[in-house]
Amino acid sequence: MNQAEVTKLISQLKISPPTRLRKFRTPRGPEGRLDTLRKTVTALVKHERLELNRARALEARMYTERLISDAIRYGDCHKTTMEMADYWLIEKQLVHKLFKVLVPRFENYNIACTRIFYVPRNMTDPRYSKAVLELRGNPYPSLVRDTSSNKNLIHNILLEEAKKAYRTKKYAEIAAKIDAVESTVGLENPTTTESDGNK
Amino acid sequence: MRLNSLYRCLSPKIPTTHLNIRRFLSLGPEEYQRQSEIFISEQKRQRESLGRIEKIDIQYEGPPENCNFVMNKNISTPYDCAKHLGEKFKNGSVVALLNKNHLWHMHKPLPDSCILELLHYQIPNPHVVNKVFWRTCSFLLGAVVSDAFKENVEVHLHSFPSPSVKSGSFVYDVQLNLDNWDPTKTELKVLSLEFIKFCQKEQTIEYLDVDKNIALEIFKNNPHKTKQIPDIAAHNGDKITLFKVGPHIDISRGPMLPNTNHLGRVTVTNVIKLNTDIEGSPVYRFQGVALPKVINLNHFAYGLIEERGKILNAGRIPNDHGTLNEDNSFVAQVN
Amino acid sequence: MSLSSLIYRLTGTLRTVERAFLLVLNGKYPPDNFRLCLDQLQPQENWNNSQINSHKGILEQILGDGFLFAVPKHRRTIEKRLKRKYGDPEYHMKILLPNKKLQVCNVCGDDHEPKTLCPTCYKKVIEETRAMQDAIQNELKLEPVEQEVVVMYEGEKDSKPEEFWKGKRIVEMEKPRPQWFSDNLLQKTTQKGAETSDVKPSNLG
Repeated sequence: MNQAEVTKLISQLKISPPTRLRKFRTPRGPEGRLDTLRKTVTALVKHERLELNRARALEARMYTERLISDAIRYGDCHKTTMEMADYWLIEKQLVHKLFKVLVPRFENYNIACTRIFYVPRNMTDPRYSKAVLELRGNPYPSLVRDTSSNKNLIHNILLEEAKKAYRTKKYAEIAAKIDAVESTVGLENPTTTESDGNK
Repeated sequence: MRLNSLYRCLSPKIPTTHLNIRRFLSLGPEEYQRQSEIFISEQKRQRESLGRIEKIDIQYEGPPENCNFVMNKNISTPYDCAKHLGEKFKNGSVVALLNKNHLWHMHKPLPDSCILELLHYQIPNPHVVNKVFWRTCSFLLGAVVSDAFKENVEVHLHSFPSPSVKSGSFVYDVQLNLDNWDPTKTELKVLSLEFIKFCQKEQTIEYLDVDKNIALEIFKNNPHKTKQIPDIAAHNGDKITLFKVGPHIDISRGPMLPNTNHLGRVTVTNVIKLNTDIEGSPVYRFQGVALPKVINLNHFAYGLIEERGKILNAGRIPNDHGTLNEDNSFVAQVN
Repeated sequence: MSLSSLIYRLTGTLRTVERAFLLVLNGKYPPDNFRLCLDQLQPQENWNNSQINSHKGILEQILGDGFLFAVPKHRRTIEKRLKRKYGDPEYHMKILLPNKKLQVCNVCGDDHEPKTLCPTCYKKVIEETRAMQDAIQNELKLEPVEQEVVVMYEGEKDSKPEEFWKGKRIVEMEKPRPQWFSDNLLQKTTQKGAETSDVKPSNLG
């Protein structure tokens, strides 16, 4: 069987999943683990930004990504997707949000739709490291300063100049090509015009 | 420091007549020694001539909090103020801004009470900082080039045009007694490595204002600088601003970076022969690109920048007359 | 065999008992095995008798009433002792060490560990976020969410064109927009901040 086809059966995530899933210590076993993650995924879709323990944030991120990418891929008329949405979103008003708000928002993204930041450790109890998990495009103030969009930073200026130089080179090439074509056409044309003139 | 590979590549082309005039060259340890001695003695003299120490009140504005420093007049520098703020400010500040309008070299003594701000690379509007960075890169390129060749290659630094990041590369114009030298990839790589090694020495860039005569004495073996000095002095109140990094001294309006360790990635991208009417040996334009250490860029994007830096820089090409011009780096750049 | 050994052991025991009695009668201390039973025989005042004390061994003179704890049998090497005391630099150091891996925030100048957010800036943002989340949840309640939510601060209604608010669920915050929080999320925070703070109070008044 063709391997390339198999990889397209599920949607490819834009984050790199770990090789092994994390076990959360619960007395209810694997179901308990999924229950805790369901709560987190529901809360993330509801609030769009959460502060969590680092392991929980990293784990919940994968399930959220999968849920949203499936919703984008299949839409709300797909039975399995709807079942998954029903399972992962405990509060049912959020199923509407998933298909009517998040799908249009992330449809054209070519990057992951969640984002994770590590929160500074509390130095009085540095054992637990926390993280902030958020959906992109949320209405809250940004957690980091945007450095890439500042056109005045030195590397951005240099890259802009490199882009300009590349474009002028390409335009020159295209112009040269057009000139070459025109000259060949022009070589043919004069003979006709001359013949016309002679007539 | 001598480049064996460069020497090997270049030595067959070198005319034997130039070997006889080695003692007139502007390079070599003796020349560096002589220049440094004059510089240091003048620095010492200026420091001693201060006399009684007066106090000035510096108002610092910016993170972590606004505060006041009581510093010594004409002795304390913005760098000393940054030392009080912490190690990160000491190492990360690029240039000082006095009274919100005047850029000030970090190692230049403060003459009067003022409002002080310290600028870094990631301020919202960093074009002044970029200019300082680019100018320092040109200056350091001069330092590297003047030391990179074997002694039988005559090197005379000419000048560098006004720093412009938009031109895609920083530049130093140098007169070399090599006819039609077309550098190979290896030679450029060696030059880049020399540049990196030079930056890794973490040398402070010192500042000194000197009289015209002292400047002429320092640059007496450089025909171009000797010509330029009277013009510059006439426009600058008979003073010449000198910068010194390691053994190398150069004229520039400044300001510069406080230390060479600010430079992260550095590449000498190209050396192009210029068409000028300067008499003597041909003038070559050394071009390079660099990024500050705090700005991380992936190698692909940096490769694009390097490619761009190979194109001949559009900066003003030096000629025999009229060294003083709007875009010449020696002219005052108030920014 | 067994009989002879029994006789041998009996005679041995008798001999020791006899020796113990002899010692006691001579005013000396009995051997260990019989101390408990013989302690009762000793009159109390005899213990304080200097004559008897002088007959005691040096160890008893020093210890008096005390007793000995268990003590280490073997010397512990200096490396192990130091590791117990200060920890191991490869694994866990018990002493306090300066953290040299720190970065400075470009906005507030606070130190923080690399790859983490700046604590002061983060605190500011997360507090505002929580306030906004509360406001949004108070507004939305349990209805199905079908529109994008936009947060509108006090006095911002007129600052944007009608089209901006169209098709969006508006949640109002009953306070002016913080100075550091740019209203245009696509722009730098520092650029717009000063402007908005100036404009808003005039709009209110």
